[in-house]
Amino acid sequence: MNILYLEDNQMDAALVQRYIETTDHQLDVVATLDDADAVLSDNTDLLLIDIMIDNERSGLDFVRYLRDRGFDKQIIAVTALSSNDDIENCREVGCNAVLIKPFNITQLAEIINY
Amino acid sequence: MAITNENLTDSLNVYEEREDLRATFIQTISISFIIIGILLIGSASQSVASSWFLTMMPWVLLCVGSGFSLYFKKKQPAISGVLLTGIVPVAIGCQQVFVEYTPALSYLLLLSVIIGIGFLKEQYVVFLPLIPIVSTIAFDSYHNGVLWFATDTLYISILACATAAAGYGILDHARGMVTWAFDRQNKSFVRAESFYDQGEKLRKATYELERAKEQVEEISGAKSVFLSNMSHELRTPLNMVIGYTSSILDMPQMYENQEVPEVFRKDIELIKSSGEYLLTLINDILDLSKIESGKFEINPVAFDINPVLEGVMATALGLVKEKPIQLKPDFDSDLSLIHGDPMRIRQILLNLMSNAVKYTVSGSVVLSVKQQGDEIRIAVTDTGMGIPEETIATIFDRFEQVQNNSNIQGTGLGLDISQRLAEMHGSRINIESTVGAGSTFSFSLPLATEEQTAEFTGDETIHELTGIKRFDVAEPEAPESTWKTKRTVLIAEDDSTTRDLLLRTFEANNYKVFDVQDGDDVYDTASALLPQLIILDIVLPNRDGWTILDDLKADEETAHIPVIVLSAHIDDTDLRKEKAEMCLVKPINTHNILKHANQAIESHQRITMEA
Repeated sequence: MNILYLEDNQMDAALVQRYIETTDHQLDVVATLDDADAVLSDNTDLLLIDIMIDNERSGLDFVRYLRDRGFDKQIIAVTALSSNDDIENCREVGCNAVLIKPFNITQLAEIINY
Repeated sequence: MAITNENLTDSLNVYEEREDLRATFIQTISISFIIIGILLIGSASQSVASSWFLTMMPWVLLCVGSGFSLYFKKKQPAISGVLLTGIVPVAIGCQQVFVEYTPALSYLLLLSVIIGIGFLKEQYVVFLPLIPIVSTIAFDSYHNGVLWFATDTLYISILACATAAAGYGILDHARGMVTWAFDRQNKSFVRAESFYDQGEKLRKATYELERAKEQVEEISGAKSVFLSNMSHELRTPLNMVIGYTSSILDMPQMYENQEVPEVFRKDIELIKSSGEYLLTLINDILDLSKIESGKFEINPVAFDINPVLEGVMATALGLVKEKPIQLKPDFDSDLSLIHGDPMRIRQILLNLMSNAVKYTVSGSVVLSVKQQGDEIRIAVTDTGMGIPEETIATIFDRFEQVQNNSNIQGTGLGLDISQRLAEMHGSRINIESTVGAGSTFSFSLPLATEEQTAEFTGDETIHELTGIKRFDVAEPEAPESTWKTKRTVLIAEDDSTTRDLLLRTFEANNYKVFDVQDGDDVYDTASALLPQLIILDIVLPNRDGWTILDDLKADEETAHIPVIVLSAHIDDTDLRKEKAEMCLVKPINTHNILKHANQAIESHQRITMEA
């Protein structure tokens, strides 16, 4: 599976990278919305996205934009926001699931391998 | 009437009004006397035929003088007074000199003097009447060649004096009344001024209060933003702690397939659990700060408490671990819908249950839910160390813990938050406790009204606040199944492939599934959850499946649960058949197992109904 991870925190990205390296999946990490837009292609099977990009919830708008554009692959929101409202917002814009930070590795494994 | 700036200048106009009043007074008196003068002069002059000019002159003088006095009455009351006091006597004088002397005219003279009283200092006023009296008598005596006491004017003078005195008295009284009126007005004015002052002070105080309120709101808002940001900041390094400790412990493939050496494992697990504890602390603090700043909202709806209870029991089981504590559910069957926020009720229950487990060394923790009238009473009873009387009062205060055993880990905030959550639902958590024997924490919740029940959607969006929340795996609701008939099944299987298969099969068919992998856990979990069905693999680690079956049937609480046994050997199918519903041989046929499961539950329901 080709996975794209949009994350502006270097350390969080590294953790995910470390795990994916042990699997058969391919991981690309980008740090800005523009890069994500550029790298995203028909080959992308799964998008992991940190909602709080640039300290604003602009990740949500990006997800909405992607869904409107016809991107129908799995989108998983990765976020430290944990209020009920925030999770509902993720669902509303079209995310398939939410992974709440901090997560442990088995949770990450489960959500990717589902 | 509010005291404003406009009203204040109105009050100042009192002074102008006073002048007005005085002027009007003069005007009224002078007009009336002028009229009398005109009448008297007119009547007198008719009796003497004389030149037209001489007859008219006093009239003219009177009119002119009156005109002037009226003109001056407002601006120069003194001039007005002089004119009045001057003109009339002049007119009379002329009358006397040029026309004919009549004693009645002296009356006018005197009265005109009285008007002058209004403008002279009081002490001189007394002497005023003497002047015209004496001059009149002298004039009369001279004119008529008679001695003064024989003149007519004497008697008229006496009469005039009496009138003057009376007039003076009246005027004085009038003036007194006017002064009194002015005084009153003055006092009102002073009072108005003080009201105005007070009003000013009030306005200033209100303004300052509003400023202070704005400041407080700003600070509170800043505090919320700060805490929210801090929460986010704190979670990021925690991601590293929890993420990597779990990797080291559970993912050897990330470390060139090297397992973590046993000697390190315990310490690394400690780091991981500390990280998890920090996470609960952050969540508690964030909750508490939201509650305090009034920004904490609950979303009460009509909901079914059964899934919440099952979830709580399952989580509490995880807390028991190796302690010899039995978790027992005691739920009324057929509970109605409750009105409340399911996520927060779950939060309260988890807190109470985890406290009960924490403070109990051995024995039991019972979660009881009973329907009474129009409410549900929930109680958590443990056989723990109990709480002393004095501590019960303060136990809900922040950071208070029963300081007995420093091994007991807790944020100290949980009960505080739970009590506040209960209060937000219109309830209160009550404690009954005996030291050494145990404690009961209880509270009640209202049943959903008909109106609220009508809005029930059965859509249980209770989000866990950690880990994973999946949206697209909605349990497909069979059309005839309602919230009442969701079934729970406990799967005891240590082989992961089989277990996964069973989990997926049952979940996809509207079952709520719990699973265990260790033989030791089966009985405890079953007695805590009281599922409607147990699928039991005969070969489990640590405890033999048949023994477990015996345990289950021996306990009257779990005896009624139908058990489907899974085995790898055909030979086992005959054994202990009366205790198990059936014995299925692996590999399992998922279609069959579902059919058998449903049959087992339904036939069992029939039995219990007939009983």
